[in-house]
Amino acid sequence: MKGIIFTEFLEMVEDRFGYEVVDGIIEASGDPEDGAYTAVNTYDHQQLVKLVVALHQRSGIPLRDLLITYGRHLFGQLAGTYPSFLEGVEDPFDLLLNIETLIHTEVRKLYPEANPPKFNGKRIDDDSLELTYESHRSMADVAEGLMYGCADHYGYQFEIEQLSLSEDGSIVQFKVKKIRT
Amino acid sequence: MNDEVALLKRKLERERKARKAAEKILEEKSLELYQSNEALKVINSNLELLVDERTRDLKRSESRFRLIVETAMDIIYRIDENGLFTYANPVAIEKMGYSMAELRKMHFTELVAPHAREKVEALYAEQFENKVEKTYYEFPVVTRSGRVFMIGQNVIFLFHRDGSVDRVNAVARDITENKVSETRLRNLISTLQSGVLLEDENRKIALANETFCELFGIPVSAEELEGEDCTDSAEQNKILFKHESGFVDRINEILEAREQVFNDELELKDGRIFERDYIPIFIDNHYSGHLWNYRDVTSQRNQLLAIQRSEEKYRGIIENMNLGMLEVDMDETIRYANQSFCEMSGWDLEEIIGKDANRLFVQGDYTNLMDNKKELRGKGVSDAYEMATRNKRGEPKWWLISGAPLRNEKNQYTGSIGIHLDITQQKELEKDLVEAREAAEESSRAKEAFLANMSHEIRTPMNGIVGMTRELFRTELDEPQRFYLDTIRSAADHLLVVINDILDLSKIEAGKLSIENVPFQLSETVHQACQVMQPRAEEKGLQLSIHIDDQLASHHRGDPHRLNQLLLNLLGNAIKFTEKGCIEVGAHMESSKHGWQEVILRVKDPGIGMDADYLDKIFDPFSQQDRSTAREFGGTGLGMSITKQLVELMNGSIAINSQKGVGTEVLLRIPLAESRGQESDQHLEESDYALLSGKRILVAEDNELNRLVIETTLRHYHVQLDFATNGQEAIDLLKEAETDIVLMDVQMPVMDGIEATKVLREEMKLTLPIIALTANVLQGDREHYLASGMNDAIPKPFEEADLLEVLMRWLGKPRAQMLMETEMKVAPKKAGFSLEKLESIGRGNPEFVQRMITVFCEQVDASIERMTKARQEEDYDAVRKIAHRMKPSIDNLAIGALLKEVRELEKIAGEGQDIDRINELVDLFVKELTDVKNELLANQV
Repeated sequence: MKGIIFTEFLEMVEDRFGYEVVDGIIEASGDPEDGAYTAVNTYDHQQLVKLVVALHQRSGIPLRDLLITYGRHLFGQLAGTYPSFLEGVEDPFDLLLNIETLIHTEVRKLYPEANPPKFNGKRIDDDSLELTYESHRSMADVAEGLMYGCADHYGYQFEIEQLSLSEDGSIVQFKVKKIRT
Repeated sequence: MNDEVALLKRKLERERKARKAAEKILEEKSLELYQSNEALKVINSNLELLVDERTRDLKRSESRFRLIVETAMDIIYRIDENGLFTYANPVAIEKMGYSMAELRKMHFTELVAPHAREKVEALYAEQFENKVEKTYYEFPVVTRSGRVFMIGQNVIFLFHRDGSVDRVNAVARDITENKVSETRLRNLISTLQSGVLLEDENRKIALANETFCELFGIPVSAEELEGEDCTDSAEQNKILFKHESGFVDRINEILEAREQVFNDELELKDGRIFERDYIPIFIDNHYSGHLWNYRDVTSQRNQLLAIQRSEEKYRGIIENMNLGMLEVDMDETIRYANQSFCEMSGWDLEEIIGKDANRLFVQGDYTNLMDNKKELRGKGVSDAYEMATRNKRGEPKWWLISGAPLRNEKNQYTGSIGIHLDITQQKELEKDLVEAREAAEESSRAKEAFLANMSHEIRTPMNGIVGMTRELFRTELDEPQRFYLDTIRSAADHLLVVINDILDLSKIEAGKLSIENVPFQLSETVHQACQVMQPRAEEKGLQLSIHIDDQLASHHRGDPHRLNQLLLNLLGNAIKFTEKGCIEVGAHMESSKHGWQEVILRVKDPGIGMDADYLDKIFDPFSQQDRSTAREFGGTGLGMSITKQLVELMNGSIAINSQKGVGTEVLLRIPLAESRGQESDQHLEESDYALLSGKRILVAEDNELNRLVIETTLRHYHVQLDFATNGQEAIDLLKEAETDIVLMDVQMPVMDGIEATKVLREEMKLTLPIIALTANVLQGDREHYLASGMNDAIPKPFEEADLLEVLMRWLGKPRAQMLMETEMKVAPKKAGFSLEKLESIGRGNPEFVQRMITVFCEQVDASIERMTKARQEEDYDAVRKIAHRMKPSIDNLAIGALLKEVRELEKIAGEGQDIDRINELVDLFVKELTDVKNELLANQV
């Protein structure tokens, strides 16, 4: 998993809860990197899971909420860092339906070893679509958060339903509905 | 505070570690980049080497190509995007006569022959426009010295990426002396079927083919002729032609004119005919020779001649047969008519050529016929038809016309040709024939009427004579009186036989004799005939021996009266021609299948026999063995003729074995249907006549004598007689008096019997038996009377027994049975039902049938009531049930209008879908059953 995911997470935790909590969860999760993450490196995703779980235990906030919140935050950060990815994309659905070509292809150019999740989408009508998430990392909640972040970016609101298609959460189907604000 | 410091320390430590990790990664990436860069440098220097090498190669190959281009046989040049020459190879310079320096200033079109310039420019403009890389065109070019020659030029455009032209390469070849195509042409010409001779402008032979040599009998090959001088050839060859000087003059004339000549015809001394074409050849308006083309058209000419001759021949034949021939075009305009046609129609040829044939010859309805014929001709159909027309003088004529389409040599329909035969005379004959036949038929009808009339006129007095004789026998007579009376009776009997024979024959010949098909007992018929003839046999001391085969069915269906007549005739002959011995009469079964028996009736006598010669003629009417026979035995000579025809009417056959002086055997072979037998044939006992006592009988008879005969005949049986002298009187009487039976004469004044019967049946709805009394055996048969509503018929003059038998048949039986029989004959004609099936079920038991009818009538009332109710309540299941229940009754009475319908009703009422049809069928059901019921009740009264 790309280092930026870690650095953004830890920055968000620091922003919201203070560095003490960052320090706390690093200690609690027995982080082999000891929190020294850099965006240009790649790390084991399990480590992120441990950090999130540690944050959950420390804050009492449900895991799902944490992950969604993180996803939402992450989208904003990424959009700011890599604005060229979103160039010419006018509609959030166009982005969601073309993650593979718009984003992951570019990611692989920079990081040939990257292994991003697979997204398969189809449009139901003007205001709704179905999107299937597939990744061994089972981080569909982060993905859902990213979608909210996407909606925020384009000035929409999404109503998202999540349906797990496998027991381990590696395959999940989203039904996304656009609510104009 | 310490905690906070520690926390910040940890944070700082982490940041440092992360930075170091990142720096390490970046250093690695830098190294990678450096290495990639080094590799690229190596690749780049390799590439430079490669480019140098390729450039050297290119230069080498360029000089190689240049060498090829310089030494090539073709014109090779290059022009720039403006069309100016940038390069021309030595061949181009040599051929065109310009130096390279001169060419550099020239536009390529300047080398194109002026007249082709515009076109060539257009072609290459098009190539540029369509970005076609490569083209090949042929066009003339002009050299510096003004010589024009043809080139075939390949042009390759090299385009820049933006579509503009970089340069143009061209390779051109002088094709004026194109040996390849010339060879091809030579081969083509040598195999041509016409003789070709090509001369150059100096009249030297450039080319000739083998056909040419063959045509002119030139003993050398075509190739050897090449180069020969032709200036003298006309003179040399003129000997072949019929008009020698004409041939030479014409050639000179043609050569002088130098204009194309086609299809000049040349007659040769040996009978051949040639056609000749002359084509001068100009190259750039410069005469450069000419081509002669000779064709042998002798066989085509001969064919044409043969066709013409054959056409003339057929025209000749038609002319000689006096057949008129007329040719018209598509507009029916007359194009040709032969002399015969002119004679036939009365017009001169000049008068009708160019005229409308339809207007001249077609009249009235035949216009449509002709339109139809014209359409047929257009489809290529030929046929013949007759037409009434008029000649020039307006006399009516009949023509038989055989028409066919006319076609030109291209097989196109151009009109039609008609061969005309005047059949006016035949038509008149035909008309005469029809008139003659009508006259003959008229006279035949008159004869028939005469015979019918005569039968009536003769039979009525005969009736009186026979009846009165019979009455006289009942009185006290002395011996001489009895003898006289007996003579009268036998004379009258004989006369009746003669009259009956003549009438029978007339009826048979007129096809008006019909054979009845009623149940009867054959053995009874045989016995009766023998019984009748027994006295006559006894008179001559002859014995009658009867043999009946016990394999015969007890009852058959057939015509017992005619069979009786046949037997009486055969027995009469046997007795007549036999002096002594025994006459054998027999009936036996020959074969039996499918309810039919083939029966042989046999009469054998040991009499005088017949010649074989006479046997051949025996069945001719009025044939007798010889005059002496006629004198000795009397008779009309009609008996055997009638016998044969009657047997044949019964689908039987007759065979006679006879030997002069030994005897005669007559065999009748007749097929008869087996019958279960009926009571109708039962013999009546004398005592049964008591049943007639007290019956009231109306006799409608205009002839007083006949009335007297009936009155005296029936007086003994205690019946009550009323008399009417015509039909109207009979009707009037029947309105007042309760009557049991009517004896109705057919021919009566005021109103005849048939009409009266119709009134009685249809208007008065009377059901009592009506019996026809008639001498009209010709015109009226039983069926005719029965159809009019009568129940039976008695022919006049009648025997007492005949009259009594019929009266007993209708009065001596229970009334129900009588009614049944009436209904059987009358009712089915009025209503669509039949009692046959009921009869059959009841095995002829009239009470059963009557009971069934009663039950049926009650059932109908109830069913109709329920059906009407069910329909109103739309209870279709009830409708279905009623239909189902009535089905067997409808079947048994064979009510034709409901047989299928009741089934349909049962079915669709069950489905309950098609309400309209159900209602329609219910209405039909109610109406038909009501009608049948009323009919049955009317007959029951």
